[in-house]
Amino acid sequence: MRAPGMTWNRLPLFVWGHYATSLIQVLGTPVIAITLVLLGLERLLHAGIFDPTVGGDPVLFQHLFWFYSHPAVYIMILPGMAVISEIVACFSRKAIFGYSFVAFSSIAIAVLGFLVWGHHLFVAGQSMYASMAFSFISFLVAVPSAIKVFNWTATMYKGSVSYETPMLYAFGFIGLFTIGGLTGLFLATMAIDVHVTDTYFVIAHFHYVMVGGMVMAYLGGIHFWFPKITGRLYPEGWAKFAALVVFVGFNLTFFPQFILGYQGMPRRYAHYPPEFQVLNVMSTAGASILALGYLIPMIYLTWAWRHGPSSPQNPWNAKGLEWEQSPTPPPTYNFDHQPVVTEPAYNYSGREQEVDIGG
Amino acid sequence: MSHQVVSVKVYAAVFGALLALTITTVAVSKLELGEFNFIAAMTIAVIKGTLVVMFFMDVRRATSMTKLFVGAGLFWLAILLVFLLSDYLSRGWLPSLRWL
Amino acid sequence: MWVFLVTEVMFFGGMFGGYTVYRNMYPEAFASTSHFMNVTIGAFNTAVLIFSSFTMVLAVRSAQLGQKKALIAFLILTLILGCVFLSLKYVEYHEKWVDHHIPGPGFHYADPRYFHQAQILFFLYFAMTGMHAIHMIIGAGLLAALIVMAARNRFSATWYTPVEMIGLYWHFVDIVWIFLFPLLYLIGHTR
Repeated sequence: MRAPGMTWNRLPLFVWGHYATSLIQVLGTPVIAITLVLLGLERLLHAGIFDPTVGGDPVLFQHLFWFYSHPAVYIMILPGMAVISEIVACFSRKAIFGYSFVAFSSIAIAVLGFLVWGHHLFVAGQSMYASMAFSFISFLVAVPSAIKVFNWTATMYKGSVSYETPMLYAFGFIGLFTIGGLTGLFLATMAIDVHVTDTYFVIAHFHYVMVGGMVMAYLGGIHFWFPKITGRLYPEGWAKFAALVVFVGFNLTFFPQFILGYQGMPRRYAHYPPEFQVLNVMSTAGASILALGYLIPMIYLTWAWRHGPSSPQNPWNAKGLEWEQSPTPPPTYNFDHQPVVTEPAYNYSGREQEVDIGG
Repeated sequence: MSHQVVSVKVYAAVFGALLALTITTVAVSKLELGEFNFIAAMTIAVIKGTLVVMFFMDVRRATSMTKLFVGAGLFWLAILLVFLLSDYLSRGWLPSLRWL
Repeated sequence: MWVFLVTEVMFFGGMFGGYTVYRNMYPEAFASTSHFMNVTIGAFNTAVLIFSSFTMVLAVRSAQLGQKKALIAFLILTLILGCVFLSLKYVEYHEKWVDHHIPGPGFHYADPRYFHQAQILFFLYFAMTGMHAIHMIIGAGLLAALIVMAARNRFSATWYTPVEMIGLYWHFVDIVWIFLFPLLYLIGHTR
């Protein structure tokens, strides 16, 4: 089933990212499955296994829950990173800097992501030693993500950068994911975590990586592949405007939440003291703007699907089997003829050195 | 996958070994060995499991990819159990700072 | 199939983890409840399952050699052994039911000091052996399907993949029991 000429080192980083994601899914999901089975039985039989009033241990539940749920967030972000690799290469007209490093970083994130779950249990009663181990490894897991950010930036260096909508979202991703990731390091530091755990700081952190990161990557990907999927072009002017609205709205919504959390406002509170009001209102205002930013693409993408101008075969002049060897939009089986791979991935300059990861 | 068919003798020998180990583990469990009971039982179980994996599931003659998957599965189970237990077992180690 | 088995390792692993934690947390209760585990039935069941793995691997071997009659015979034998295991499991569960050791509103434990802990330990016993039994029942269904397919000449020496795959599944379920048996039946007896 492999296309002739395809090797591991010619795979687009998009595929590497998804491969790493599927590894996490296979290894992590069964644990949440059994946890939920046990929890369900507990409720059904009125017999406690995690219930402290009958001798059960809620911390055990937390361990089993977070064993999956932490890798789950890597399931959520790896595809986004995969998309960004594609977009940055295309709109810098340059191969991704350090292809093997980016590929291995995806796998490293998948593996290390399974070793850090205890950082959700720092204040739950977990032992100090275990917490220290988890804290240290949580610092380590930031490294492969950082490698990717450096490599994307290095890709743009001396590249021919253009500012179409997908690239704008990629810029947004790189900046906002970095902020989210760095604040994750603060949370991994036990001494800081005891103060900001369960506050808005945590909320701001994960929204920076999830919305500033993943959703931006998602929107970038949607716009990047929209011509491929539908055979039509979306209106670039509106798209750029919407990207700006999303960026402004997002930051206005979630940056105040860092401050709120740092000042002590807890999570999941509907009513709060008056000193938190200004920042909360600012956040709500930002949310409305962000909502507008989501609404605009929903409208023009729907419109463009039916009434947009026809797209050429490869509007971005991108490298990749989907752009070069499959019609736009693709037929039912994606390819009219079996694609053949003849060059390394991202061969924008036409003279890329073949990477050799190992076959 | 290797195309050579394994002889019945080999399978029968493994079967015999598995039964013998089962009898052994039951016998050992009747003795008073304190913590060693657990270690003995687990060791025997690991040996039995290895025999089933290597011979009955034919991992002995399988491709490297298969061996990698088997190893990874066991390694991941180890991650879960080791880190989980490291929390519970190390709870008493670091004394709390009473002067704070 | 191997990828699926990896997920199954993690699935059962969660319960083994929970079992280990509670065993270390409540050693006296554990010792107390271990008297109610029927080692004889457990050991016999272990032998039954090992025997069924043997017949299963002989079934796969028959498929490799294109021996249809032997294949069907060994598959049927494996199925019968699986059913023997499940019947003995039923006997054990019935014993527990009579003793009021099934967690839930009807639970009762003779030693009041360990009421809650015992309930948790029996909860894990039923969860682990019950999940194992469900996997056995599914395996039995798959074996039945294989027997029908074999009877209809679907397999040959060049193609017998389903037999091999379900063989792997069956061996895995056997391995889970190989670990369940000592942990649930043998440890704690001598305290």
